[in-house]
Amino acid sequence: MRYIRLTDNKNRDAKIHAVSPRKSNTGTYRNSRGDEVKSYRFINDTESHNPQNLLNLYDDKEVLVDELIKGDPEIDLEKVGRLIDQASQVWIANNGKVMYSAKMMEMVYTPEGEIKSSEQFENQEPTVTEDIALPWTGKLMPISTVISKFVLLRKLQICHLDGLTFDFLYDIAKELHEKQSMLFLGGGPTGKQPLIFQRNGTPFRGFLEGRIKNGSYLLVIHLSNLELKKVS
Amino acid sequence: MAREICIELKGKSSKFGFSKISREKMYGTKKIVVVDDENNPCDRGLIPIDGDVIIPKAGTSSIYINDDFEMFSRNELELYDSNGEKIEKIPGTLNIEHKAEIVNHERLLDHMITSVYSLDPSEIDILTLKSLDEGKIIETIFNYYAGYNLSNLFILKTTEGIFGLVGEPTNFEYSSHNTGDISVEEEAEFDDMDFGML
Repeated sequence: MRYIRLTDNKNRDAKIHAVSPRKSNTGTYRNSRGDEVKSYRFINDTESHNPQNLLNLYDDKEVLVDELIKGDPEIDLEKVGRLIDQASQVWIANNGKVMYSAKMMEMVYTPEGEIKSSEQFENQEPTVTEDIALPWTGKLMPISTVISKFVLLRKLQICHLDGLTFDFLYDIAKELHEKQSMLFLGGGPTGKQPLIFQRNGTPFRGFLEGRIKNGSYLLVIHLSNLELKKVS
Repeated sequence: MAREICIELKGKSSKFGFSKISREKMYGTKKIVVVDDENNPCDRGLIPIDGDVIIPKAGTSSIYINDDFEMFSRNELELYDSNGEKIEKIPGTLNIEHKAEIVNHERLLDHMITSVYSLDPSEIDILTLKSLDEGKIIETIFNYYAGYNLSNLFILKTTEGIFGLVGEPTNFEYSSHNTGDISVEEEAEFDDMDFGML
């Protein structure tokens, strides 16, 4: 369960919880006889036997060619086919050695795939936590405008924790429902920063939608990082 | 034959060519690249828990096996639900006409959007076009490839053109707060505070 803090139009904030959509149960795979089958991961190549490493091992490439004809130096017969369960992720340098201290660079590519810029990567801290109240930006946009301008990719349902937060969220949902509008949501003190839910997570713009029905409410943050327009 | 999205709205057919819209195509991408001391990019690898081997990028394969260690390819397998019932594969929807209907915007808002397409009508019914011009949203079913999961496609027109948004339902439900019946004891009994039982 994820807790966040939301502010209303009276500048009061409350800790509430945000719920992701439930994933549907996909079921299990079976073969044509109805036997249950499971997916397992096996080793098919090892660093010491991969082609780049073999090329580095033989100064005279003709010798490598002869070895490849005579035997199977490209296959690690002891390791290939072994089942892998738990494994640690590592970074491997060009020389095949594991990196113990690596530098991370952030590369920005243009839509054409060319490098636009590169700089040292810095961790991006989340802007949405239970300690930082998302401000009421006051920027209300008609629902029809939001739908026609932005692709609302992800959703988070906002739910109350107790009777007081029920009233708090119900009032927000009622206002948005009556105005048939969505509230632009952003991070930071003024709501100008993007919404980032975890460290180095994807930045989004947010739109808060509210509905009420028979004394109950539905409050959803719609997240978008894409405008609805044609690619030029 | 080019693949098209074919719909039937109120008995009238329309066909749309489509091309995918992505963030990469629109704005470009950001990638985090790990480099060594000489700024050469590094590859991601794995070390199993035994620690006796380094597995390079793409050095593992996943296969399906049963309890007798027989191997099966993905297309030999069938999906069963949690009750043990076989789930039938749903064929792809492209180039096959499917019924469509006009829905309200709440229906679209109740879906997470997984893909976006720019639509180019090759044949469009006048009433369908009129509905789109009026800002109405048309819903039909969508399955790019045959599979076990049928998505919904929402077609709408904006000042930029006609778009198709493929989505999965969120299944969010309205929230209410019901504390249940609170029993309040009779006032007379409340006055009878028994300090002896404390």
